[in-house]
Amino acid sequence: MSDQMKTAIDRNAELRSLLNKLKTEKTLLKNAATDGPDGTVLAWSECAIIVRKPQRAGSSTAPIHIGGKQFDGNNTVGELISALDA
Amino acid sequence: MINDTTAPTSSAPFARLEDAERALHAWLRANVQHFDPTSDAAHDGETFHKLKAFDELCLFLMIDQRLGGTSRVPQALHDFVRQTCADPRFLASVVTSPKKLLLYVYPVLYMQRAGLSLGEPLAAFAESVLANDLYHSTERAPHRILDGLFCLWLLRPDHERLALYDAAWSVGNGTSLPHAAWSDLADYYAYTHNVFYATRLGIDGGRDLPPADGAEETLEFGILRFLAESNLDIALELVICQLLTGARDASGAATIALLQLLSSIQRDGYAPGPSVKGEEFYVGAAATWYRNYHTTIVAAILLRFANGPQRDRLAQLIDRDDAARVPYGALLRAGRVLSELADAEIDRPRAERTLDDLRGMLPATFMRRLSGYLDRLPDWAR
Repeated sequence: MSDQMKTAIDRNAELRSLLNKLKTEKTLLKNAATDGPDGTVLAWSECAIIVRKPQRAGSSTAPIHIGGKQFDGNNTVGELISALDA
Repeated sequence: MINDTTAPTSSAPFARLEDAERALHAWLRANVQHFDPTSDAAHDGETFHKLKAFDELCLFLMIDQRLGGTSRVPQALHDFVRQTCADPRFLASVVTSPKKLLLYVYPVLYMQRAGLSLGEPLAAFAESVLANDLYHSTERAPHRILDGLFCLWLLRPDHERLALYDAAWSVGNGTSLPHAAWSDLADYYAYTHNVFYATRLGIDGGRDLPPADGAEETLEFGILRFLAESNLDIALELVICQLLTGARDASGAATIALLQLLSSIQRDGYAPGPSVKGEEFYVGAAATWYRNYHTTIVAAILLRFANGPQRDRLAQLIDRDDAARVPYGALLRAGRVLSELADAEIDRPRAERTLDDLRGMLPATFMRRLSGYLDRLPDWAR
């Protein structure tokens, strides 16, 4: 690959990164405005520092509880399958 | 045949899935009044939300009707749908909204299948709309074209317009697969819906898809990515796609998705949905319903398959060898890497360094598959 091509690819990745950050912040600002404390619409600059991404329900890092047992990320897939079987 | 429609012949390997299915049905019953599109609405948006929710509920019940064997859904839900479908206000909306037929079509299909009064004439009306050139004289995404064709197939399986099925599939992203380290959420939703409609949701034996190179990785790595993003909704849709296509899942992604679902049901009684537009219109129990009804229906459909005709498929999907000794947190961290690559938060070298840190925890076969998967990205997408 030529140096010129590599530069173009690097530049492309940089632009993608910037664009995605802008997209994330735009979504964020929209959500923050509608979800703002006590229903007020916050200034964009205030919104931008509240959260980075829209929050979704159910955290992937939360422990899994099945039938009185708790599983965290250190448990194996095999142990999860056993819980499914029980 | 992608599945059979007879009652499962194997023993029940996953007893907890049946308990979970019953819990979801109980939640749907307890919230049934929110699905009523004929109830008074506080705003126009609420009417639309309820029509869409009712349509999805009817899709679920129609699948229950048509998968064969004994219905697994409480009669009270069927009774609610029958009663609502007979309401003159709802019937009037159907026939005065041909342009929005897909918002009303599953109630019509349900009525026809259940032999309800006006079911046949409304089905004939729906067929005349879906088969007409005017309905198709607009530009739609391929998965929306397949949506209409799937409904037309349910109404009249020998209709000549169904010849478009293969053409619509060939130009969608069911053939140009999304990539978990590049594509956005909308691309993945388009993909799951392409698979749903192209396989005819397993109804009447379903429909085989031509083998697509990389489809299993699209599903597995997609599940890991979206679980890492705490989006159970799309992860469950991808597990349904695994069942419909008979995919294998060597990484354990489907197992983690199912266990997260069961844990949520045990805690809340429903499947948690992502943030959705319009939440601000609802408060209290209605807000909980609005945010979670869609994912709960997706989960109920998944469990209807898993506890019914796809029980053997699920047993094959839950691989007891390849991933058994892998800590599931390490798989979710790999999913996080895919998510960060897709969001362009990290570059490929940084992703490689993170994956190197996981090398001791993840099997060599998984690492080889993931590395090969990432290598499929063209240079400009890395």
